[in-house]
Amino acid sequence: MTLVVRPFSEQVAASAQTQPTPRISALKERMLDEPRFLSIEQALIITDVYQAHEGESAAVKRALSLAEAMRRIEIHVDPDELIVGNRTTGVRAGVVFPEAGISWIDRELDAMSTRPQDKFNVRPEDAATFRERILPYWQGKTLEDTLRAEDGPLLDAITRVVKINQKDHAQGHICPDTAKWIRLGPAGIRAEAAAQAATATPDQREFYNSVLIVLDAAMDFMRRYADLASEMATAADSPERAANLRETARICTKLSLGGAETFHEAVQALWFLFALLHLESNASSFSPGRADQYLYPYYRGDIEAGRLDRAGALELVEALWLKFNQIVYLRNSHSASFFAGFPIGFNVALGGRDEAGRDESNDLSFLFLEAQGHILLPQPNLSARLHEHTPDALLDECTRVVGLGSGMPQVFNDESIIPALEAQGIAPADAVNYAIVGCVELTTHGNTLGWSDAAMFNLVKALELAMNDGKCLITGAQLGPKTGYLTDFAAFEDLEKAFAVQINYFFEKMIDACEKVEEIHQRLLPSALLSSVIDDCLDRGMDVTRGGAHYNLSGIQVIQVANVADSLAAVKKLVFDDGTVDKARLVAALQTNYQTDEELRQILLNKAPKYGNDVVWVDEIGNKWVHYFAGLFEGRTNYRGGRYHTGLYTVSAHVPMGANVGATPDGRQAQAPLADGGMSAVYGRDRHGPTALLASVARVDSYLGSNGTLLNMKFLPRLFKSVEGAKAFSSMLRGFVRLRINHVQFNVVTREDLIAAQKDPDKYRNLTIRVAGYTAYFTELAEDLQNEIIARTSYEDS
Amino acid sequence: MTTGRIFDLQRFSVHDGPGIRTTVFLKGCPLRCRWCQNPEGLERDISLWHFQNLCGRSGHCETVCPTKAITLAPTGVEINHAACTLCGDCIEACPRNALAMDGRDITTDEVVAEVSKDSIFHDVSGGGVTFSGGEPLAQAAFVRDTAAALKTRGLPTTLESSFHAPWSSIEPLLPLIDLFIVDLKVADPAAHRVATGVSNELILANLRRLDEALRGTGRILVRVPLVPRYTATTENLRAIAGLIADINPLLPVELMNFNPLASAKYRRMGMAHEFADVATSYSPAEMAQFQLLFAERGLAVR
Repeated sequence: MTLVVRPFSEQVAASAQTQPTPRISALKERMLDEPRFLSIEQALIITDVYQAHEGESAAVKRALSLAEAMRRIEIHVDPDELIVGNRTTGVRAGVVFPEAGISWIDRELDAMSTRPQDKFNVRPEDAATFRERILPYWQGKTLEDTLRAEDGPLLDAITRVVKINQKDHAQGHICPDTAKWIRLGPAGIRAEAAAQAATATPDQREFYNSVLIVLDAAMDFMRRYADLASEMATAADSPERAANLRETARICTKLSLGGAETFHEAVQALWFLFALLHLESNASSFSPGRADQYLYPYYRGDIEAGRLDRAGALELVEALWLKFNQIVYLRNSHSASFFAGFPIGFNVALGGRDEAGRDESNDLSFLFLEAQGHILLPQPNLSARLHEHTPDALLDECTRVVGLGSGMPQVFNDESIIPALEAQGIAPADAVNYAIVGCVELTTHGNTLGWSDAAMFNLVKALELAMNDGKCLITGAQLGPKTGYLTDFAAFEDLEKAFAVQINYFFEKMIDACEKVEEIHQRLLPSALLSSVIDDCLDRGMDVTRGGAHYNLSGIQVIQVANVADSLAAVKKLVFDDGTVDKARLVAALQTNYQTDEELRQILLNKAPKYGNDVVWVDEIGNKWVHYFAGLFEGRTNYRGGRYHTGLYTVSAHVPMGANVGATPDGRQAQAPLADGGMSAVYGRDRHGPTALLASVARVDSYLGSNGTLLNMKFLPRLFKSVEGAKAFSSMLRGFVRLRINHVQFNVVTREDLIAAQKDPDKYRNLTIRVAGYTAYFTELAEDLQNEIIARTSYEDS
Repeated sequence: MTTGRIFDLQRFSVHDGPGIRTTVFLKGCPLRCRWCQNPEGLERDISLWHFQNLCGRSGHCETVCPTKAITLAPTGVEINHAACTLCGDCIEACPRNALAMDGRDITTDEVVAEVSKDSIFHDVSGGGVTFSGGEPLAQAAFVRDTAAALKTRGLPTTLESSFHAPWSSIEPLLPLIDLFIVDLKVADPAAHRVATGVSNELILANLRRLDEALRGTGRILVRVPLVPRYTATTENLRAIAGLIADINPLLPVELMNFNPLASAKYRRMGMAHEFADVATSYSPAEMAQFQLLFAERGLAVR
């Protein structure tokens, strides 16, 4: 990921040690200096087209409005750019897409520049135009409004337990067949679609028609860049810039007519695809996937022909990396708190193995890591696929780049993920070619609509209801069935039964809600361009939202293993097994948020074992309830006819989801965040080092995380500064592969993190530091010792 | 079954021998190095400790103590160690885990079980188990039996020691320990006694015998701690380099930079520490100077 939930500016500050070429450095600086604005340009185009074609179907209106945007939207080229294209002239604009949602923008428009997370500047004239021309037309017609009108009560009834996603924006979270797009270009794919259209049934005709409309326009879009670059070349202020612009014009012209042949052309083709997919849909996470694999033939061809050297290739990769940082995605403020800091999800995978277990990494895998080490920006979301035979050199390079502190690459495990995907009915050839979308969501390459972020199910809230007769501890409202209070239960098993009843109740409603959301997406947001690059949409003549993809999955996240395991372990041990905590005392404390019984909270925190410490019975509680939840999907299919499966990640949602949950028996106070990540232990409760944490995580069966899992670990930069430390880290990654854990990502903490740890020790209790002949937990050290470490760390870091 | 006394058992140790290791810190030491980094490892006897920064002043410890050894004073919790019977009731009663023993007894089987939890990491990293302390050779029978048990499971073992121990406790370990890390601190016997409380003659004799027994196997590493005033002087380091070169110029040497962090630990434990004024480690340039003193004698140093 990096789901590093840190402001962009901080990440930029961390990038001071980069050494890209002067061109890349200059482009990066210019990009970071640009303010971020709300953009209504495309919304006006879409509105015009919809108004002019009222009688047409949604598919045709969507295609026509995308085509019009490709032909009309203002474009921009920086004379130094090697890779061109964006959906707005400014970078990182918040683009308004009226089809998906408009009411929330109206509500939030005035606070857009001051909201706590993901701010955008709004030009007053844009705000006025929005309210005069855009809002009145779209009210009641959008995905958001339709869903609210048709299914509002259902969504409201479950909102504290189940967060249904994709309610006011398009789905995204998809890995297109970029290799095909590079090879054929829009022209080649258009020819294919035209041939299929010739034999189409009446049902399919509209789909093919819309595909032809958008691909024709895509060619025009590229030509417009060629024209602009040519024009700029004639007026360029230096021969170098003129040459660069002429080359840009040549490449754009060529790509408008067919496929790419060189590495530069292939990288430009890749970026055009992703810019265009974002022009089609305001969505998160269109992911390039295994770019080191499909770009490699172009790279190798150029190197062998002497057209390109390694340094030139690196600069092109870095140019692409910059482009990945130029598109962000406008979320409502609630969503922004769940997915804070623009996780747009240009997820690039590197490395990995084939079906026979042979390593598939290549020179580009290394170039990608090197580029990341230089750029150190939030995108791409760089993901390393490790396996039993990952070469030491690649592993050590991953370690080096992780040690630079950008939180990347995050690490995925072929040895657990490939079998997990096969268990979901994915063919071995597709499973072995898996990629990652968004943050950590798993997908096949180019033929899956995974709908991986369908919903998040808050098991911790269901457990709260199970202890409190179905009533919300925060509001007192009766949310779930009346299953009794903890004081009514004679045995621990009675609590487990009540927990299952609460889960079942919300589960059924969640399924209903997921189907409604998908149905409205089909009705309102058909996506012709995306369908043209997802197999088998063209063969089936079916839009991707209707189920045209080869695989149609839906991913539901189970939230949150650590809090469930810790809470149930504390109740089991202290209340039912040892009898040292009285049931009535616990219920009273939970109902009053420990306000008059801090001592009980401390007992729950300190006298019961916690997930993350390699304590088998505690970890197994977590595994048991994920199993239970996943089992409920058996025999069910989603709205597109594919399978539901489960994931274990929260992105930044552990904070807002925690805000929905009252006090819990793991010692967590009401509305405090849940454990982060998905697989992580509760902040600071893992006290026996990284290997013990990994052992606990490995006890949650990895196939239950076939939609993706997320484990966060923190290390001090110092570990990476000694040879032994770096080697140990690489070895730990090998151990991670052996333990069959799906995913891990690393925060390499800095002096600032240590200061934060000092101020808020509870959150950082698992931060370890080498003191002398032993390692200690930073927050357990006395303040003066902490100060010394902080002073010393900054010395070592300088 | 042999029982030993430890003050810590550390998973994911990465500086005490090759790979990812589990380090067993044995409690009790015959030396009294003035710079000791692990003062809780000095005494063989177990003591009850109170951690002021965790204390919530519930007073439960005072209430439950059967011998009235604990007093909740205005400035903190006071422990009368002479009266404390180490029953552990106060630890059980403390809601915040602010009281703890500074050591525990552990059997060979328990060490093996704990170590096995990280066998995957030992395996992938070429790591294993390190006996450290305190002074592990002060519990030589426990180290021997535990190392033997680990050996049968194929786990590499390292011993990190002052080597101030009778040869009879070292010899049985020769087939059981894969890497011996020998600390050499001060060259002059009288100065060594001032710095550590004992002379270095036994240590040097042991190193000589160890080298004779293991010559050419690469199973010995000499470590020199760099301590201001005591060890990190040109004169002393030159002399140590001479001693090592005299025993075997092929012995590898590792210099351990001074670690200023122990002084805060001493303060917390209410113990005096004469290095409280030294706040920094040696700089890379200074380290290079020190290394040169060994390289001049033809020694491989890092």
